Amino acid sequence: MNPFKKDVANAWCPGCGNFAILNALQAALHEEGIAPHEAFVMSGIGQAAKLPHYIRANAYNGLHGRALPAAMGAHAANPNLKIIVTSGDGDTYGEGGNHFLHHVRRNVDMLHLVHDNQVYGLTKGQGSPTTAMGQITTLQQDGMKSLPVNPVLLALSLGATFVARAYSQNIEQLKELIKAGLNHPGYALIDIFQPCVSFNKVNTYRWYSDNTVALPEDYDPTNLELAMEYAKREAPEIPLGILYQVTQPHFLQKQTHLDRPIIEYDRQPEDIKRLLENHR
Amino acid sequence: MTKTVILAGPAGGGLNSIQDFLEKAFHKKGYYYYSYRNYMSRVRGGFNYMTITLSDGPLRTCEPKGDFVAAFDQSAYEHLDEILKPGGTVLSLDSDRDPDSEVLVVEFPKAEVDKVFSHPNASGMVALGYLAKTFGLSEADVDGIKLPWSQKINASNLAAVHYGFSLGEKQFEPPVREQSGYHMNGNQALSLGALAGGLNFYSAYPMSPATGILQYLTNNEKAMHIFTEQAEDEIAAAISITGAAAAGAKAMTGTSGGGFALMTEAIGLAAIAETPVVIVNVMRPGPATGLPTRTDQGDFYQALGAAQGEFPKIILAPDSVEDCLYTTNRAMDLAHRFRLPLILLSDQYLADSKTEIPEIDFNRLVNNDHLAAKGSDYKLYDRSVLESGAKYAGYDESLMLYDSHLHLEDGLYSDTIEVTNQYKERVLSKLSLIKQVLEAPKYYGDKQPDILLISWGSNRQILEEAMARWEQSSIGLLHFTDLYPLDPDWLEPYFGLAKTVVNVELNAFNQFGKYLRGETGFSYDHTINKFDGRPLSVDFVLARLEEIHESL
Repeated sequence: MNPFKKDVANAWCPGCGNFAILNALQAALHEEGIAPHEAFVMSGIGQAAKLPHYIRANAYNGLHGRALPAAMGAHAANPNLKIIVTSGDGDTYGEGGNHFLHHVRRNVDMLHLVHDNQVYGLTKGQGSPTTAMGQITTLQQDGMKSLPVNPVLLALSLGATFVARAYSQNIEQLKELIKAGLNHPGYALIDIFQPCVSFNKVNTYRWYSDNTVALPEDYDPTNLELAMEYAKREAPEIPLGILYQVTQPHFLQKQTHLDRPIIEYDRQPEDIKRLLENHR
Repeated sequence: MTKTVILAGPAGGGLNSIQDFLEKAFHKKGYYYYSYRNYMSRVRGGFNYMTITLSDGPLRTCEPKGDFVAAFDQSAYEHLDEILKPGGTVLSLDSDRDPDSEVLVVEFPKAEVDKVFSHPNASGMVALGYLAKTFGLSEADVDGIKLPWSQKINASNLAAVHYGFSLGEKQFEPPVREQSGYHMNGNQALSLGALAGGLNFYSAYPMSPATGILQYLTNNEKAMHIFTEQAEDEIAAAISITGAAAAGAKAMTGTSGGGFALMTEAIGLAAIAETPVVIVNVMRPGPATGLPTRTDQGDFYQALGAAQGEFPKIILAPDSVEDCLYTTNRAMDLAHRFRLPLILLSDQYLADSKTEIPEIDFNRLVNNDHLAAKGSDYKLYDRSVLESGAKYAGYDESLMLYDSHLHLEDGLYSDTIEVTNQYKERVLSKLSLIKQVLEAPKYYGDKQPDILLISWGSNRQILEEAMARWEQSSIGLLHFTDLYPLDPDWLEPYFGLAKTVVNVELNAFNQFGKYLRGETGFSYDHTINKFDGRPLSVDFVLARLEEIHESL
């Protein structure tokens, strides 16, 4: 029995791609030998962001767009917790866009799963930052008039150390990518295509199956130029897999004055005497 | 004897260094001091001045005008009406001046000074030497000033100090007393209070006049083993402390009004998720960018109404530089005891006031965990627990589900009528409990006052000083540091006590006074409002009291 499974009512639509992501995450965590109390699954608001309610682990369901700063805080407080952020495309690249930029820069040691269904689900079908130009939505009846964000290309341009793309129906690959992300020392982004059966009539299960391809077997994920070239590829040849992975010192490793989690230092009011002498 | 020195001139012209040397050397000699920075929002130039009031007895505030004004450039002459007392002396450090015949001027000819001392800011050191002699310091005292630059520059600057010393004449006798206590400004005292309370996580976005907290804590992160971060914006700063608290940190952020506006949604999150955090608003005049480097008390309404919905929170406002330490320490404790957002309202006046504070009373400082026993049965939102006994993610094998929705005791989202009502009951019960542990307003002054002043925050010492000089009638002050929630019982002894009640605030709306009236029925007959971006002053209060007294 997987200890991350939780017997709880679920509010996702039948057939939603989120179920597969939840299952893959639960399986990956268990197979990696992580216990529920060692994991901290954190989110903002949206359909993807409901996931923390559906997994038996420490969980945090915060505000729309704001999962990443909360996750940074939790990680800095106690890096022994395995931090997994789960958020949607609107949550991450729209409302939370500024945080996304800066968390890539920080290279905080966490796994970030973006459930990218290229549409707003919870608010019923408006365009998202990853909806294609021209695509008709419940709000944009004449089609989207802005360019879509390419999340993987954006992350690469910002210096991300782990960038992957997945599709929720390729469950085995998704699980392996999640494991690789869990084991990556630094910020690991997996942008996961995930069909919205209620509101996205373009990017369907069929569409993703027809328009995604595996990376070549001899693909070198340490080559940034190559990764950017592949990240630019569009339908019908959107590549799935680890586009780029390198190891660099992560955020907390650069806090060289800390030799243990900040919450483990014994602290007394008298400690400020260390500083008071500077005020004589 | 109380005398005031004002250092006036451009930003970046060395005023800060001279202020620091002067305070330390004069304090070492026995003087008490209280200093305050008046400055513009710019990196170079402009009209800025540092006020340093020196006395042979303890000081509650500084004087607005100087007996000595060291004019570092022409700009000071344009503002002499504002900064020089009648009969005061100008120390002219700039040869291009147009001297006012009414003013006594001591000149340090720039051409001469520059020739002798190769350092561009040497003229300030000459003024320092002159003032040292005037206030009775010895050549040995002057030699004891610690200069922070290279050996060559230090030598040149020390020569400049001695040159200024040779030009001066001793006018004042320094007090003889035991030295004790510490030099600090309000931002530093606030930081120390938080650190004493176990602060280990501080994330903030730079914003005047709160930046000093971020600077101080970051400068000392190695000594204290804490984590500090310059966030990408105030939203991230405020959210990150809720995440840190969810994983067991003692977390705080600090900003001013504009940044606080961005943080408000996170304050509601901290309340409903029950992650203990302290949010500091070092107030400056708004709206929008307002006056970045000035002071007021215009954000009480903002603090009171921060974030959508009804939830438990606490608002405190320290009443002095010293109290920044104790009240912030108490803030850390209360936030963790009741697991809620605590808003601390400081202001630019406190942030940029520097003075001597007495030895720290460690019996008044606490760092309590307020945690449950490890391994115990636990529900994050147990309805029977209103204070203490918390766990956090990773504390033991219990699992937390922090949630921004209305939720069940285990954190799962629920929108039933029952859960909605239970949440409101929890809010009200917590607030009732908090009222019992907050501090009632403190009373200062005559037992049966004709005039009763009511005020809050940083006005306290200025009002006490004004009361000490007020002779026309009896007078008292009822002063609040604990602003929300208010217990109406606190006001019982004061109904009908005075002939007239005067509300004193650094804003135009009487924000706290109106709220106090609404919550308790305790009202005021007159008001003293100052809202020019500058601190309350003793003279301003006395002039308004005179008007009020005449109208009685």
